[in-house]
Amino acid sequence: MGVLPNKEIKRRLELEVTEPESLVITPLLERRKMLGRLSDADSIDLRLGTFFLLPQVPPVPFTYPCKNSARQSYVRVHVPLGSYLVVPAHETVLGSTLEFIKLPSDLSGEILTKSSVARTFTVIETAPWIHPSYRGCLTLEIANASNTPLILYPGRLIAQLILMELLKTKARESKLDGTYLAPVYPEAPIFRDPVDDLGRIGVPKSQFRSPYNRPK
Amino acid sequence: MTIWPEVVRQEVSELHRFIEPLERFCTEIRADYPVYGETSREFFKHIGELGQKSLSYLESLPEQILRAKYPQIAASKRQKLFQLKSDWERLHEYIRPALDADTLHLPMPLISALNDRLRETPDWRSFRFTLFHAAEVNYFEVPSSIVRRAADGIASQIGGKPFPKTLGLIGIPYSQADGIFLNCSLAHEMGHFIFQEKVLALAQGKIDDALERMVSDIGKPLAYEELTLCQERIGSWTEETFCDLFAICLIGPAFSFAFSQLMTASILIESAAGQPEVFYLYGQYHPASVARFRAHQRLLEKLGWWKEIQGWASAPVEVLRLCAGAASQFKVQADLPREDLEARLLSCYDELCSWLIDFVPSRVKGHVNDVADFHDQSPIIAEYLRRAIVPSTIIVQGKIVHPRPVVLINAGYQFLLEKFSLLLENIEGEKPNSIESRSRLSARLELWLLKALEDHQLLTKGVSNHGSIT
Repeated sequence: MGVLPNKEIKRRLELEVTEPESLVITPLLERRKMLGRLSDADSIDLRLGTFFLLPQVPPVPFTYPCKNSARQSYVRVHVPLGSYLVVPAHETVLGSTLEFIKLPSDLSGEILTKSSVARTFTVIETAPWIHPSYRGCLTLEIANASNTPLILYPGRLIAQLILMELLKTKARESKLDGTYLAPVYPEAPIFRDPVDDLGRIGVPKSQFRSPYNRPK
Repeated sequence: MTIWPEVVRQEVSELHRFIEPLERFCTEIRADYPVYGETSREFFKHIGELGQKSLSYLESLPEQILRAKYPQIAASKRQKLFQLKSDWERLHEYIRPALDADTLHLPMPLISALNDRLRETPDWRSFRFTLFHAAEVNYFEVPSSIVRRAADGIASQIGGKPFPKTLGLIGIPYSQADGIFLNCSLAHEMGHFIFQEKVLALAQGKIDDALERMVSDIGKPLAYEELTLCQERIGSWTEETFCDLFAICLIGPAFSFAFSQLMTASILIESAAGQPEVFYLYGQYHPASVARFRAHQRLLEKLGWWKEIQGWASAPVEVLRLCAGAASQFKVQADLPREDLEARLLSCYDELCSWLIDFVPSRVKGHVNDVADFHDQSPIIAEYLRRAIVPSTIIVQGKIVHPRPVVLINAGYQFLLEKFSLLLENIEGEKPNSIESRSRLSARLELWLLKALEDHQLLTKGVSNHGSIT
């Protein structure tokens, strides 16, 4: 596996979409600067999008990852370009990249906090790996790990995307995965009910303890 | 002891109590979220100022009434109080629905694209629209006179500013925030405002000429009631047709498809000639739907769109083809006093319709390259959508292209109508015949297209236009 140099990123961005090797990053603002001589040789910068999911105080004193958790746990907000979002100290918010990306099947990616942003003790990703053939705006799990509230301006550079070529893999088109299909806004996690997940590996329903049932 | 001063103070304080929350809703909008478009903020600012001035005015009103030298003056001031109340009751209807329509609950990129398109016509550059949520599953423009009359009625009493002349109000079904296809109907509603403010005088001249010819053909004068009925019907039908054709010039056949969807016009396919009757009925305000589709098809042909879409295997195109050939079976929903009036009225409308088909495209600017761009880019956009990719940057013959909104919207509609199964087949585990899958993925498709419209703003015009309703 090798890191894709800037020149190769540019080549793939200019391929027609029917080419299996084609890469899409849109909108790529300040394109010349992003892909020019002065840009990083091995990565491409991404910007913060304008929609966020703010965690809600849950109706119960815990987060229960189940089918309904996505609906219960977040409030969606829009912060237009020019405005800002305040993330209080030690709090988290789901955001997304402004850019929609599509990886071909022979590339993996990793999204990292831009180093200058990281120095404000902002973490933007805890699941940074992007699988081949992924498409969508990347959901960012933004955490303010500092002791002071943090101001986030949508549209500013926040992340670096590093692309890696898979060893001995030829790009080809394959069917898409329906889970989180091409999101354009941050999306809440999708879970099955834990009782069903555990049932698949043989844990009987009778053995399953729900946090909603008080122990007898 | 007289109870008169108490009565007056009570009356005034009741109105104060009524206006105070309305004023508060409009002036206490937070700076962060919910976020409102520029025109919504302009609307709230205006109503908020009217509210503040009204409250100050009411503070001094009881003394003015009680100290009036003559009973007639006191009575006139009380009368004004009732007028003020009635005007605020009228505004009350629109404030909460406008507050509900923040940027999270409106298809902002589509609205921005429509506004940009409107501004390509220099005469209409100053027009802008604020949207509010409607409970009805329908789109409608609030006749400018309703809100303006109420707001200006208040302003004249309390010494406030007049309502902005070029600000229109449009209602959108509250459930359609994430949609793009059905929301193409918004273009028609914009047309009403343009018609009322900029076209009415010219159109009225044409209507009068056509009616005069109709009367002279009859050979004897019509009774006053007959003439009034004809004027009202023809006036309304002309306005509706203008708005349809205006919408097509603004966003191409997508408007006709949305209208078809809204009317469930696919029922016309496989129906007997003249059935269902309601589609052939000229109403009080609207021409028969079949006649409207016929006008759409004629304009689409004139603009060059028809040759692009006529081969599509889709219901809305079939409806257009069917209606283009419809010539009889029309009825007018009214008790017409003369037997021959129906045919003459329809013929008069047909004459005006032909005028509109020439007139509207001559007034709407910026549609010249739409068809050619659609022809070149729509097959490529479909390739992006089939792969679940936002088509805001596409590669056409090795060149980077950012498709314009009209091209995106119509290519998206074509994909929905003709090629949607390609997307369903391209996703692991989706069942092409599942209604749930189709519904869920068509909602996704609309999000990708809205994102592409949003990106287009950024890629071609810079950040200043992003997120703004105007």
